[in-house]
Amino acid sequence: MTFDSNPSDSNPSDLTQSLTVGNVVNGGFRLYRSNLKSYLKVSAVSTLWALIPFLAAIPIVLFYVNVQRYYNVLGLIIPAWLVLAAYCSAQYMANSAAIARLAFGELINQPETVKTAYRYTNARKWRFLGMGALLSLLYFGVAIGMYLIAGILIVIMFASIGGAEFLRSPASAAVINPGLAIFAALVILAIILIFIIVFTWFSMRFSVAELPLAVESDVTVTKTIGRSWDLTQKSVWRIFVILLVTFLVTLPIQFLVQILATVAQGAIAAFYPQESSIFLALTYAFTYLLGLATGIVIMPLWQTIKAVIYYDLRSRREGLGLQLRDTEPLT
Amino acid sequence: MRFFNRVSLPTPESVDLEFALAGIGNRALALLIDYHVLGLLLAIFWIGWISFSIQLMNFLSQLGGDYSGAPNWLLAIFLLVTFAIFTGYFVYFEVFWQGQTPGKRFAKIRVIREDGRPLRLSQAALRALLRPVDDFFFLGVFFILLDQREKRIGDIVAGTLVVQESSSDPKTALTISDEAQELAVQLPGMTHLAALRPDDFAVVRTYLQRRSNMALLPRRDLSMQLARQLKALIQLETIPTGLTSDQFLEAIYLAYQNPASRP
Repeated sequence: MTFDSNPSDSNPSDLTQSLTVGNVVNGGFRLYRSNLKSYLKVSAVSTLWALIPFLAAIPIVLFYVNVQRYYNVLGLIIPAWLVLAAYCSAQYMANSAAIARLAFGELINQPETVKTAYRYTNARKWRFLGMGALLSLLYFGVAIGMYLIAGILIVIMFASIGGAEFLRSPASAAVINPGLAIFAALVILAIILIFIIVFTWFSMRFSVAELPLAVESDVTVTKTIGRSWDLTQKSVWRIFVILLVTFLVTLPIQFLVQILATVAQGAIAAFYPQESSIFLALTYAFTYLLGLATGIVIMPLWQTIKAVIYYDLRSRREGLGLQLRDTEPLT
Repeated sequence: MRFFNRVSLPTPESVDLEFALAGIGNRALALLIDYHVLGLLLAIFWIGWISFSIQLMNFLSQLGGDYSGAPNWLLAIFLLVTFAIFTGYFVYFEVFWQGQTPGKRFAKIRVIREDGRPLRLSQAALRALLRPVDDFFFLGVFFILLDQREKRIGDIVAGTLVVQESSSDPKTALTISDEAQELAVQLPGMTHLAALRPDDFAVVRTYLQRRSNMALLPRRDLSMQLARQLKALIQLETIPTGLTSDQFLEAIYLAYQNPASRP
Protein backbone atom coordinates (compact mmCIF):
# COMPACT_ATOMS: atom_id res chain seq x y z
CA MET A 1 0.00 0.00 0.00
CA THR A 2 1.18 3.45 -0.75
CA PHE A 3 -1.20 4.95 1.75
CA ASP A 4 -0.29 4.92 5.42
CA SER A 5 -1.64 1.88 7.10
CA ASN A 6 -2.80 3.97 9.98
CA PRO A 7 -5.63 6.34 9.15
CA SER A 8 -5.81 8.71 12.06
CA ASP A 9 -9.44 9.67 12.15
CA SER A 10 -11.26 6.62 10.96
CA ASN A 11 -14.49 6.03 12.77
CA PRO A 12 -14.66 2.53 14.18
CA SER A 13 -18.44 2.42 14.13
CA ASP A 14 -18.25 2.85 10.37
CA LEU A 15 -16.03 -0.09 9.78
CA THR A 16 -17.84 -2.64 11.89
CA GLN A 17 -20.26 -3.28 9.07
CA SER A 18 -19.75 -4.41 5.54
CA LEU A 19 -21.64 -2.34 3.04
CA THR A 20 -24.96 -3.46 1.63
CA VAL A 21 -25.57 -3.37 -2.12
CA GLY A 22 -27.60 -0.18 -1.85
CA ASN A 23 -25.05 1.55 0.32
CA VAL A 24 -22.23 0.80 -2.10
CA VAL A 25 -24.24 2.64 -4.75
CA ASN A 26 -25.01 5.43 -2.27
CA GLY A 27 -21.32 5.72 -1.46
CA GLY A 28 -20.44 6.06 -5.13
CA PHE A 29 -23.03 8.77 -5.62
CA ARG A 30 -21.95 10.67 -2.51
CA LEU A 31 -18.30 10.60 -3.51
CA TYR A 32 -19.17 11.86 -6.97
CA ARG A 33 -21.45 14.53 -5.65
CA SER A 34 -18.98 15.94 -3.16
CA ASN A 35 -16.18 16.06 -5.77
CA LEU A 36 -18.31 16.90 -8.76
CA LYS A 37 -16.15 19.62 -10.25
CA SER A 38 -12.76 17.98 -9.96
CA TYR A 39 -14.00 14.57 -11.16
CA LEU A 40 -15.80 16.15 -14.11
CA LYS A 41 -12.62 17.96 -15.09
CA VAL A 42 -10.54 14.80 -15.03
CA SER A 43 -13.30 12.94 -16.87
CA ALA A 44 -13.39 15.62 -19.59
CA VAL A 45 -9.62 15.46 -20.06
CA SER A 46 -9.79 11.70 -20.14
CA THR A 47 -12.53 11.69 -22.78
CA LEU A 48 -10.64 14.20 -24.92
CA TRP A 49 -7.65 11.88 -24.93
CA ALA A 50 -9.88 9.09 -26.17
CA LEU A 51 -11.13 11.41 -28.89
CA ILE A 52 -7.74 12.35 -30.34
CA PRO A 53 -7.12 9.19 -32.41
CA PHE A 54 -10.47 9.65 -34.13
CA LEU A 55 -9.85 13.33 -34.77
CA ALA A 56 -6.46 12.43 -36.20
CA ALA A 57 -8.01 9.80 -38.44
CA ILE A 58 -10.44 12.25 -40.05
CA PRO A 59 -7.88 14.33 -42.02
CA ILE A 60 -6.01 11.17 -43.04
CA VAL A 61 -9.15 9.59 -44.41
CA LEU A 62 -10.24 12.82 -46.08
CA PHE A 63 -6.82 13.23 -47.66
CA TYR A 64 -6.82 9.78 -49.21
CA VAL A 65 -10.42 10.01 -50.30
CA ASN A 66 -9.69 13.25 -52.15
CA VAL A 67 -6.14 12.73 -53.42
CA GLN A 68 -6.23 8.97 -54.03
CA ARG A 69 -2.42 8.80 -54.34
CA TYR A 70 0.65 8.39 -52.14
CA TYR A 71 -0.66 5.05 -50.84
CA ASN A 72 2.88 3.88 -50.08
CA VAL A 73 3.08 6.50 -47.28
CA LEU A 74 0.33 4.55 -45.53
CA GLY A 75 3.00 2.11 -44.42
CA LEU A 76 4.27 4.92 -42.23
CA ILE A 77 1.01 6.58 -41.33
CA ILE A 78 -0.78 3.48 -40.04
CA PRO A 79 1.92 2.48 -37.53
CA ALA A 80 2.18 6.11 -36.44
CA TRP A 81 -1.56 6.24 -35.93
CA LEU A 82 -1.47 3.00 -33.94
CA VAL A 83 1.21 4.41 -31.66
CA LEU A 84 -0.86 7.54 -31.20
CA ALA A 85 -3.95 5.46 -30.43
CA ALA A 86 -2.03 3.39 -27.88
CA TYR A 87 -0.63 6.47 -26.20
CA CYS A 88 -4.04 8.14 -26.07
CA SER A 89 -5.71 5.01 -24.69
CA ALA A 90 -3.05 4.83 -22.00
CA GLN A 91 -3.69 8.47 -21.14
CA TYR A 92 -7.44 7.83 -21.08
CA MET A 93 -6.99 4.95 -18.67
CA ALA A 94 -4.55 6.81 -16.45
CA ASN A 95 -6.98 9.70 -16.15
CA SER A 96 -10.01 7.58 -15.39
CA ALA A 97 -7.97 5.53 -12.93
CA ALA A 98 -7.01 8.77 -11.20
CA ILE A 99 -10.69 9.31 -10.37
CA ALA A 100 -10.90 5.84 -8.86
CA ARG A 101 -7.74 6.51 -6.86
CA LEU A 102 -9.10 9.84 -5.60
CA ALA A 103 -12.34 8.16 -4.54
CA PHE A 104 -10.55 5.37 -2.74
CA GLY A 105 -8.28 7.84 -0.96
CA GLU A 106 -11.35 9.54 0.40
CA LEU A 107 -12.87 6.25 1.51
CA ILE A 108 -9.87 5.47 3.69
CA ASN A 109 -9.72 9.03 4.96
CA GLN A 110 -6.54 9.90 3.11
CA PRO A 111 -7.71 12.28 0.43
CA GLU A 112 -5.28 13.42 -2.24
CA THR A 113 -5.21 16.29 -4.66
CA VAL A 114 -6.09 15.60 -8.27
CA LYS A 115 -2.50 16.40 -9.19
CA THR A 116 -0.89 13.79 -6.94
CA ALA A 117 -3.42 11.15 -7.89
CA TYR A 118 -2.89 11.80 -11.59
CA ARG A 119 0.89 11.84 -11.17
CA TYR A 120 0.65 8.38 -9.60
CA THR A 121 -1.61 6.83 -12.22
CA ASN A 122 0.08 8.60 -15.12
CA ALA A 123 3.40 7.05 -14.13
CA ARG A 124 1.69 3.68 -14.60
CA LYS A 125 -0.18 4.47 -17.79
CA TRP A 126 1.57 1.77 -19.85
CA ARG A 127 0.66 -0.80 -17.25
CA PHE A 128 -2.98 0.32 -17.49
CA LEU A 129 -2.76 -0.12 -21.23
CA GLY A 130 -1.19 -3.55 -20.77
CA MET A 131 -3.97 -4.45 -18.37
CA GLY A 132 -6.58 -3.36 -20.89
CA ALA A 133 -4.91 -5.40 -23.61
CA LEU A 134 -4.58 -8.48 -21.42
CA LEU A 135 -8.22 -8.20 -20.32
CA SER A 136 -9.33 -7.97 -23.94
CA LEU A 137 -7.32 -11.09 -24.70
CA LEU A 138 -8.87 -12.87 -21.73
CA TYR A 139 -12.39 -11.93 -22.78
CA PHE A 140 -11.54 -13.00 -26.31
CA GLY A 141 -10.30 -16.33 -25.01
CA VAL A 142 -13.44 -16.84 -22.95
CA ALA A 143 -15.60 -16.04 -25.96
CA ILE A 144 -13.66 -18.42 -28.23
CA GLY A 145 -13.92 -21.16 -25.62
CA MET A 146 -17.63 -20.62 -25.26
CA TYR A 147 -18.15 -20.64 -29.03
CA LEU A 148 -16.22 -23.88 -29.32
CA ILE A 149 -18.24 -25.58 -26.61
CA ALA A 150 -21.52 -24.22 -27.97
CA GLY A 151 -20.55 -25.27 -31.49
CA ILE A 152 -19.72 -28.81 -30.43
CA LEU A 153 -22.94 -29.07 -28.42
CA ILE A 154 -25.05 -27.83 -31.28
CA VAL A 155 -23.42 -30.19 -33.77
CA ILE A 156 -23.96 -33.15 -31.45
CA MET A 157 -27.55 -32.15 -30.92
CA PHE A 158 -28.17 -31.55 -34.59
CA ALA A 159 -26.80 -34.98 -35.40
CA SER A 160 -28.79 -36.69 -32.68
CA ILE A 161 -32.13 -35.32 -33.84
CA GLY A 162 -31.53 -36.51 -37.38
CA GLY A 163 -29.75 -33.50 -38.80
CA ALA A 164 -27.59 -35.66 -41.04
CA GLU A 165 -30.72 -37.03 -42.68
CA PHE A 166 -31.97 -33.50 -43.12
CA LEU A 167 -28.76 -32.41 -44.83
CA ARG A 168 -28.89 -35.33 -47.23
CA SER A 169 -32.46 -34.68 -48.30
CA PRO A 170 -34.09 -31.52 -46.94
CA ALA A 171 -37.39 -32.71 -48.32
CA SER A 172 -37.52 -35.37 -45.64
CA ALA A 173 -37.46 -32.67 -42.94
CA ALA A 174 -41.07 -33.50 -42.23
CA VAL A 175 -39.86 -36.80 -40.83
CA ILE A 176 -38.16 -34.98 -37.98
CA ASN A 177 -40.15 -35.14 -34.80
CA PRO A 178 -41.47 -31.58 -34.12
CA GLY A 179 -41.10 -32.22 -30.39
CA LEU A 180 -37.40 -32.76 -30.90
CA ALA A 181 -37.12 -29.59 -32.94
CA ILE A 182 -38.70 -27.59 -30.14
CA PHE A 183 -36.37 -29.29 -27.70
CA ALA A 184 -33.42 -28.28 -29.88
CA ALA A 185 -34.59 -24.68 -29.95
CA LEU A 186 -34.85 -24.70 -26.16
CA VAL A 187 -31.35 -26.09 -25.86
CA ILE A 188 -30.01 -23.34 -28.10
CA LEU A 189 -31.78 -20.76 -25.96
CA ALA A 190 -30.27 -22.34 -22.86
CA ILE A 191 -26.81 -22.22 -24.46
CA ILE A 192 -27.23 -18.50 -25.19
CA LEU A 193 -28.37 -17.93 -21.62
CA ILE A 194 -25.40 -19.84 -20.22
CA PHE A 195 -23.14 -17.87 -22.55
CA ILE A 196 -24.45 -14.62 -21.11
CA ILE A 197 -24.14 -15.87 -17.53
CA VAL A 198 -20.58 -17.10 -17.99
CA PHE A 199 -19.52 -13.88 -19.66
CA THR A 200 -21.13 -11.80 -16.92
CA TRP A 201 -19.43 -13.94 -14.31
CA PHE A 202 -16.03 -13.30 -15.89
CA SER A 203 -16.64 -9.57 -16.22
CA MET A 204 -17.53 -9.38 -12.54
CA ARG A 205 -14.32 -11.20 -11.63
CA PHE A 206 -12.34 -8.60 -13.59
CA SER A 207 -14.51 -5.67 -12.54
CA VAL A 208 -12.07 -3.97 -10.15
CA ALA A 209 -8.91 -4.80 -12.09
CA GLU A 210 -7.74 -1.21 -12.42
CA LEU A 211 -8.03 -0.41 -8.72
CA PRO A 212 -5.05 -2.36 -7.35
CA LEU A 213 -2.85 -0.82 -10.04
CA ALA A 214 -4.17 2.64 -9.20
CA VAL A 215 -3.86 2.24 -5.44
CA GLU A 216 -1.37 -0.39 -4.35
CA SER A 217 2.36 -0.27 -4.86
CA ASP A 218 4.46 -2.79 -6.78
CA VAL A 219 1.59 -4.04 -8.89
CA THR A 220 2.22 -5.50 -12.29
CA VAL A 221 -0.23 -6.00 -15.13
CA THR A 222 -0.88 -9.63 -14.26
CA LYS A 223 -0.92 -8.97 -10.54
CA THR A 224 -3.61 -6.31 -10.74
CA ILE A 225 -5.89 -8.67 -12.68
CA GLY A 226 -5.07 -11.45 -10.24
CA ARG A 227 -5.97 -9.18 -7.33
CA SER A 228 -9.35 -8.43 -8.88
CA TRP A 229 -9.85 -12.16 -9.39
CA ASP A 230 -9.03 -12.95 -5.75
CA LEU A 231 -11.01 -10.10 -4.23
CA THR A 232 -14.20 -10.77 -6.16
CA GLN A 233 -14.14 -14.50 -5.44
CA LYS A 234 -17.14 -14.63 -3.12
CA SER A 235 -18.98 -11.56 -4.33
CA VAL A 236 -19.68 -12.05 -8.03
CA TRP A 237 -23.46 -11.69 -7.91
CA ARG A 238 -23.40 -8.97 -5.30
CA ILE A 239 -21.18 -6.92 -7.59
CA PHE A 240 -23.53 -7.70 -10.46
CA VAL A 241 -26.52 -6.32 -8.52
CA ILE A 242 -24.50 -3.23 -7.54
CA LEU A 243 -23.62 -2.50 -11.16
CA LEU A 244 -27.17 -3.27 -12.28
CA VAL A 245 -28.67 -0.85 -9.74
CA THR A 246 -26.12 1.80 -10.75
CA PHE A 247 -27.05 1.31 -14.38
CA LEU A 248 -30.74 1.68 -13.54
CA VAL A 249 -30.11 4.95 -11.73
CA THR A 250 -28.17 6.32 -14.69
CA LEU A 251 -31.05 5.48 -17.05
CA PRO A 252 -32.94 8.70 -16.28
CA ILE A 253 -29.84 10.69 -17.22
CA GLN A 254 -29.57 8.87 -20.53
CA PHE A 255 -33.28 9.41 -20.99
CA LEU A 256 -32.87 13.14 -20.38
CA VAL A 257 -30.13 13.21 -23.00
CA GLN A 258 -32.46 11.49 -25.45
CA ILE A 259 -35.07 14.17 -24.87
CA LEU A 260 -32.47 16.90 -25.39
CA ALA A 261 -31.35 15.28 -28.64
CA THR A 262 -34.93 15.09 -29.89
CA VAL A 263 -35.62 18.69 -28.95
CA ALA A 264 -32.42 19.84 -30.66
CA GLN A 265 -33.31 17.87 -33.77
CA GLY A 266 -36.67 19.63 -33.82
CA ALA A 267 -34.99 23.00 -33.39
CA ILE A 268 -32.52 22.33 -36.20
CA ALA A 269 -35.36 21.13 -38.39
CA ALA A 270 -37.07 24.47 -37.87
CA PHE A 271 -34.16 26.23 -39.60
CA TYR A 272 -33.02 23.76 -42.22
CA PRO A 273 -35.06 21.38 -44.38
CA GLN A 274 -34.82 17.80 -43.11
CA GLU A 275 -33.31 16.51 -46.36
CA SER A 276 -30.49 19.04 -46.50
CA SER A 277 -26.97 17.92 -45.77
CA ILE A 278 -26.57 20.77 -43.27
CA PHE A 279 -29.44 19.33 -41.23
CA LEU A 280 -27.81 15.92 -41.25
CA ALA A 281 -24.39 17.27 -40.37
CA LEU A 282 -25.74 19.44 -37.55
CA THR A 283 -27.86 16.68 -36.01
CA TYR A 284 -25.01 14.19 -36.21
CA ALA A 285 -22.58 16.66 -34.68
CA PHE A 286 -24.99 17.60 -31.93
CA THR A 287 -25.93 14.01 -31.09
CA TYR A 288 -22.27 13.09 -31.05
CA LEU A 289 -21.33 15.96 -28.75
CA LEU A 290 -24.25 15.12 -26.49
CA GLY A 291 -23.10 11.50 -26.33
CA LEU A 292 -19.61 12.70 -25.46
CA ALA A 293 -20.98 14.95 -22.73
CA THR A 294 -23.04 12.09 -21.30
CA GLY A 295 -19.94 9.92 -21.24
CA ILE A 296 -18.04 12.62 -19.40
CA VAL A 297 -20.81 12.93 -16.82
CA ILE A 298 -21.35 9.20 -16.27
CA MET A 299 -17.78 7.90 -16.32
CA PRO A 300 -16.78 9.28 -12.87
CA LEU A 301 -19.82 7.58 -11.36
CA TRP A 302 -18.62 4.17 -12.55
CA GLN A 303 -15.15 4.96 -11.24
CA THR A 304 -16.41 5.95 -7.79
CA ILE A 305 -18.70 2.92 -7.66
CA LYS A 306 -15.78 0.67 -8.54
CA ALA A 307 -13.69 2.35 -5.85
CA VAL A 308 -16.38 1.67 -3.25
CA ILE A 309 -16.72 -1.94 -4.42
CA TYR A 310 -12.95 -2.38 -4.16
CA TYR A 311 -12.94 -0.78 -0.71
CA ASP A 312 -15.77 -3.01 0.46
CA LEU A 313 -14.15 -6.13 -0.99
CA ARG A 314 -10.89 -5.34 0.73
CA SER A 315 -12.59 -4.83 4.03
CA ARG A 316 -14.44 -8.11 3.61
CA ARG A 317 -11.57 -10.17 2.27
CA GLU A 318 -8.59 -8.51 3.93
CA GLY A 319 -9.98 -6.67 6.91
CA LEU A 320 -9.04 -3.28 5.48
CA GLY A 321 -9.54 -0.65 8.14
CA LEU A 322 -9.42 -3.10 11.02
CA GLN A 323 -6.72 -1.20 12.87
CA LEU A 324 -6.26 -0.64 16.54
CA ARG A 325 -5.91 3.03 17.50
CA ASP A 326 -2.59 4.77 17.37
CA THR A 327 -0.58 1.61 17.43
CA GLU A 328 3.03 1.85 16.42
CA PRO A 329 3.67 0.87 12.82
CA LEU A 330 4.61 -2.72 12.42
CA THR A 331 8.01 -3.73 11.33
CA MET B 1 -16.58 9.43 4.53
CA ARG B 2 -20.22 8.76 5.25
CA PHE B 3 -22.27 6.67 2.93
CA PHE B 4 -25.64 8.31 3.44
CA ASN B 5 -27.35 11.51 4.48
CA ARG B 6 -28.69 11.74 7.98
CA VAL B 7 -31.72 13.51 9.35
CA SER B 8 -32.54 14.13 12.96
CA LEU B 9 -36.16 14.43 13.89
CA PRO B 10 -37.18 16.34 17.00
CA THR B 11 -39.81 14.54 19.09
CA PRO B 12 -42.31 16.02 21.57
CA GLU B 13 -40.21 14.50 24.33
CA SER B 14 -37.40 16.74 23.06
CA VAL B 15 -35.29 13.75 22.21
CA ASP B 16 -33.82 13.89 18.75
CA LEU B 17 -34.24 10.77 16.70
CA GLU B 18 -31.49 10.23 14.19
CA PHE B 19 -32.08 8.36 10.98
CA ALA B 20 -29.87 7.52 8.05
CA LEU B 21 -31.72 8.27 4.84
CA ALA B 22 -32.14 5.33 2.50
CA GLY B 23 -30.25 6.84 -0.42
CA ILE B 24 -30.77 6.35 -4.12
CA GLY B 25 -28.98 2.98 -4.19
CA ASN B 26 -31.19 1.27 -1.64
CA ARG B 27 -34.33 2.77 -3.09
CA ALA B 28 -33.48 1.72 -6.63
CA LEU B 29 -32.70 -1.78 -5.40
CA ALA B 30 -35.99 -1.98 -3.50
CA LEU B 31 -37.92 -0.75 -6.51
CA LEU B 32 -36.15 -3.22 -8.78
CA ILE B 33 -37.31 -6.08 -6.57
CA ASP B 34 -40.81 -4.71 -5.98
CA TYR B 35 -41.47 -4.15 -9.67
CA HIS B 36 -40.38 -7.69 -10.44
CA VAL B 37 -42.72 -9.12 -7.80
CA LEU B 38 -45.46 -6.81 -9.00
CA GLY B 39 -44.81 -7.75 -12.62
CA LEU B 40 -45.15 -11.41 -11.70
CA LEU B 41 -48.44 -10.78 -9.86
CA LEU B 42 -49.82 -8.76 -12.76
CA ALA B 43 -48.74 -11.37 -15.29
CA ILE B 44 -50.52 -14.09 -13.32
CA PHE B 45 -53.67 -11.98 -13.16
CA TRP B 46 -53.51 -11.01 -16.83
CA ILE B 47 -53.05 -14.56 -18.05
CA GLY B 48 -55.81 -15.76 -15.75
CA TRP B 49 -58.20 -12.98 -16.71
CA ILE B 50 -57.64 -13.27 -20.43
CA SER B 51 -58.19 -17.01 -20.45
CA PHE B 52 -61.27 -16.53 -18.26
CA SER B 53 -62.60 -13.88 -20.65
CA ILE B 54 -62.09 -16.06 -23.69
CA GLN B 55 -63.89 -18.97 -22.08
CA LEU B 56 -66.70 -16.75 -20.84
CA MET B 57 -67.23 -15.30 -24.31
CA ASN B 58 -67.27 -18.79 -25.79
CA PHE B 59 -69.83 -19.82 -23.24
CA LEU B 60 -71.96 -16.74 -23.86
CA SER B 61 -71.90 -17.18 -27.62
CA GLN B 62 -73.23 -20.70 -27.14
CA LEU B 63 -76.13 -19.32 -25.11
CA GLY B 64 -77.14 -16.97 -27.89
CA GLY B 65 -78.61 -13.58 -27.10
CA ASP B 66 -76.96 -10.19 -27.23
CA TYR B 67 -73.87 -9.98 -25.06
CA SER B 68 -72.01 -7.36 -27.09
CA GLY B 69 -71.56 -5.22 -23.96
CA ALA B 70 -69.67 -7.97 -22.15
CA PRO B 71 -66.17 -7.32 -23.57
CA ASN B 72 -66.32 -3.73 -22.34
CA TRP B 73 -67.21 -4.92 -18.88
CA LEU B 74 -64.44 -7.48 -18.94
CA LEU B 75 -61.99 -4.81 -20.02
CA ALA B 76 -63.18 -2.41 -17.35
CA ILE B 77 -62.77 -5.02 -14.62
CA PHE B 78 -59.38 -5.90 -16.06
CA LEU B 79 -58.20 -2.29 -15.85
CA LEU B 80 -59.65 -1.77 -12.39
CA VAL B 81 -58.03 -4.87 -10.96
CA THR B 82 -54.70 -4.04 -12.61
CA PHE B 83 -54.82 -0.61 -11.01
CA ALA B 84 -55.84 -2.16 -7.68
CA ILE B 85 -52.92 -4.59 -7.76
CA PHE B 86 -50.43 -1.88 -8.72
CA THR B 87 -51.55 0.51 -5.99
CA GLY B 88 -52.69 -2.07 -3.48
CA TYR B 89 -49.35 -3.88 -3.47
CA PHE B 90 -47.52 -0.87 -2.07
CA VAL B 91 -50.35 0.30 0.19
CA TYR B 92 -50.94 -3.15 1.65
CA PHE B 93 -47.32 -3.87 2.43
CA GLU B 94 -46.40 -0.39 3.61
CA VAL B 95 -49.32 -0.34 6.03
CA PHE B 96 -49.12 -3.89 7.32
CA TRP B 97 -45.35 -4.29 7.27
CA GLN B 98 -44.65 -0.99 9.05
CA GLY B 99 -43.54 0.93 6.01
CA GLN B 100 -41.83 -1.92 4.24
CA THR B 101 -42.50 -3.77 1.01
CA PRO B 102 -40.73 -7.01 0.05
CA GLY B 103 -38.16 -4.95 -1.88
CA LYS B 104 -37.66 -2.49 0.96
CA ARG B 105 -37.29 -5.33 3.43
CA PHE B 106 -34.58 -6.84 1.27
CA ALA B 107 -32.81 -3.47 0.95
CA LYS B 108 -33.25 -2.90 4.71
CA ILE B 109 -35.12 0.38 4.33
CA ARG B 110 -38.46 1.61 5.62
CA VAL B 111 -40.93 4.46 5.05
CA ILE B 112 -41.75 6.57 8.08
CA ARG B 113 -43.67 9.75 8.69
CA GLU B 114 -41.76 12.99 9.00
CA ASP B 115 -42.17 12.90 12.77
CA GLY B 116 -40.62 9.43 12.92
CA ARG B 117 -43.86 7.59 13.56
CA PRO B 118 -45.00 4.62 11.50
CA LEU B 119 -46.84 5.09 8.26
CA ARG B 120 -50.65 5.13 8.13
CA LEU B 121 -53.06 4.22 5.38
CA SER B 122 -53.46 7.79 4.12
CA GLN B 123 -49.72 8.33 3.63
CA ALA B 124 -49.23 4.93 2.04
CA ALA B 125 -52.13 5.61 -0.32
CA LEU B 126 -50.77 9.02 -1.31
CA ARG B 127 -47.33 7.57 -1.99
CA ALA B 128 -48.82 4.77 -4.07
CA LEU B 129 -51.14 7.04 -6.03
CA LEU B 130 -48.36 9.47 -6.86
CA ARG B 131 -45.96 6.69 -7.85
CA PRO B 132 -46.96 6.87 -11.53
CA VAL B 133 -46.19 10.59 -11.45
CA ASP B 134 -42.74 9.88 -10.02
CA ASP B 135 -42.17 7.16 -12.57
CA PHE B 136 -43.19 9.47 -15.41
CA PHE B 137 -39.92 10.52 -17.09
CA PHE B 138 -38.15 9.15 -14.00
CA LEU B 139 -39.07 12.36 -12.17
CA GLY B 140 -38.76 10.63 -8.81
CA VAL B 141 -35.10 9.78 -9.37
CA PHE B 142 -34.21 13.41 -10.00
CA PHE B 143 -36.18 14.48 -6.95
CA ILE B 144 -34.43 11.91 -4.76
CA LEU B 145 -31.01 12.88 -6.10
CA LEU B 146 -31.51 16.61 -5.74
CA ASP B 147 -33.66 16.94 -2.62
CA GLN B 148 -31.86 17.40 0.66
CA ARG B 149 -34.10 14.84 2.33
CA GLU B 150 -34.30 12.56 -0.69
CA LYS B 151 -38.03 12.94 -1.15
CA ARG B 152 -39.80 12.02 -4.33
CA ILE B 153 -43.05 13.81 -5.15
CA GLY B 154 -45.09 11.16 -3.33
CA ASP B 155 -42.96 11.64 -0.22
CA ILE B 156 -43.33 15.41 -0.33
CA VAL B 157 -47.10 15.23 -0.60
CA ALA B 158 -47.55 12.43 1.93
CA GLY B 159 -44.99 13.88 4.33
CA THR B 160 -42.90 10.76 4.53
CA LEU B 161 -39.23 9.84 4.63
CA VAL B 162 -37.48 6.68 3.53
CA VAL B 163 -34.81 5.67 6.03
CA GLN B 164 -32.45 2.81 6.64
CA GLU B 165 -33.36 0.16 9.16
CA SER B 166 -31.40 0.79 12.31
CA SER B 167 -29.38 -2.33 11.78
CA SER B 168 -28.96 -4.20 14.95
CA ASP B 169 -25.61 -5.91 15.06
CA PRO B 170 -25.73 -9.03 12.99
CA LYS B 171 -25.74 -11.66 15.64
CA THR B 172 -23.52 -14.02 13.83
CA ALA B 173 -22.56 -16.62 16.34
CA LEU B 174 -18.83 -16.44 16.82
CA THR B 175 -17.12 -19.77 17.07
CA ILE B 176 -14.77 -19.73 19.98
CA SER B 177 -12.33 -22.54 20.57
CA ASP B 178 -11.97 -24.40 23.87
CA GLU B 179 -8.40 -23.18 24.29
CA ALA B 180 -9.61 -19.59 24.04
CA GLN B 181 -12.32 -20.20 26.62
CA GLU B 182 -9.72 -21.54 29.04
CA LEU B 183 -7.45 -18.60 28.47
CA ALA B 184 -10.32 -16.14 28.81
CA VAL B 185 -10.81 -17.24 32.40
CA GLN B 186 -7.18 -16.58 33.26
CA LEU B 187 -6.67 -13.40 31.25
CA PRO B 188 -8.22 -10.89 33.67
CA GLY B 189 -5.83 -12.00 36.38
CA MET B 190 -2.78 -11.99 34.13
CA THR B 191 -3.21 -8.73 32.31
CA HIS B 192 -4.38 -5.18 32.28
CA LEU B 193 -7.59 -5.67 30.29
CA ALA B 194 -8.96 -2.32 31.38
CA ALA B 195 -6.46 -0.70 29.03
CA LEU B 196 -8.65 -1.80 26.15
CA ARG B 197 -11.15 0.70 24.86
CA PRO B 198 -14.54 -0.15 23.36
CA ASP B 199 -13.09 0.77 19.96
CA ASP B 200 -10.39 -1.86 20.29
CA PHE B 201 -12.98 -4.40 21.32
CA ALA B 202 -15.09 -3.49 18.30
CA VAL B 203 -12.11 -4.13 16.03
CA VAL B 204 -11.50 -7.55 17.59
CA ARG B 205 -15.16 -8.45 17.34
CA THR B 206 -15.37 -7.34 13.73
CA TYR B 207 -12.31 -9.38 12.88
CA LEU B 208 -13.81 -12.47 14.50
CA GLN B 209 -17.07 -11.92 12.64
CA ARG B 210 -15.45 -11.44 9.27
CA ARG B 211 -12.56 -13.84 9.38
CA SER B 212 -14.42 -16.79 7.83
CA ASN B 213 -14.87 -14.81 4.62
CA MET B 214 -11.34 -13.49 4.49
CA ALA B 215 -8.64 -14.63 2.15
CA LEU B 216 -6.07 -16.87 3.79
CA LEU B 217 -2.92 -14.74 3.69
CA PRO B 218 -4.35 -11.35 4.66
CA ARG B 219 -6.30 -13.06 7.41
CA ARG B 220 -3.18 -14.59 8.90
CA ASP B 221 -1.28 -11.31 8.71
CA LEU B 222 -4.09 -9.31 10.23
CA SER B 223 -4.62 -11.82 13.01
CA MET B 224 -0.93 -11.79 13.90
CA GLN B 225 -0.79 -8.02 13.77
CA LEU B 226 -3.86 -7.54 15.97
CA ALA B 227 -2.62 -10.13 18.46
CA ARG B 228 0.79 -8.45 18.71
CA GLN B 229 -0.72 -5.01 19.16
CA LEU B 230 -3.21 -6.21 21.75
CA LYS B 231 -0.51 -8.03 23.64
CA ALA B 232 1.36 -4.75 23.97
CA LEU B 233 -1.78 -2.85 24.90
CA ILE B 234 -2.77 -5.13 27.76
CA GLN B 235 0.85 -5.51 28.85
CA LEU B 236 1.02 -9.24 28.45
CA GLU B 237 4.56 -10.58 28.40
CA THR B 238 4.07 -13.45 25.99
CA ILE B 239 1.13 -15.12 24.39
CA PRO B 240 0.78 -18.53 26.10
CA THR B 241 2.56 -21.16 24.05
CA GLY B 242 0.57 -23.41 21.81
CA LEU B 243 -2.06 -20.79 21.10
CA THR B 244 -2.71 -19.37 17.66
CA SER B 245 -3.21 -15.66 17.26
CA ASP B 246 -6.85 -16.30 16.41
CA GLN B 247 -7.37 -18.16 19.67
CA PHE B 248 -5.70 -15.34 21.56
CA LEU B 249 -8.07 -12.83 19.95
CA GLU B 250 -11.05 -15.03 20.80
CA ALA B 251 -9.90 -15.13 24.42
CA ILE B 252 -9.59 -11.35 24.56
CA TYR B 253 -13.04 -11.03 23.05
CA LEU B 254 -14.52 -13.34 25.68
CA ALA B 255 -12.65 -11.88 28.62
CA TYR B 256 -13.47 -8.30 27.67
CA GLN B 257 -17.11 -9.14 27.12
CA ASN B 258 -17.40 -10.58 30.60
CA PRO B 259 -18.16 -7.58 32.84
CA ALA B 260 -16.49 -9.20 35.83
CA SER B 261 -13.15 -8.72 34.16
CA ARG B 262 -13.61 -4.98 33.79
CA PRO B 263 -13.15 -2.52 36.64
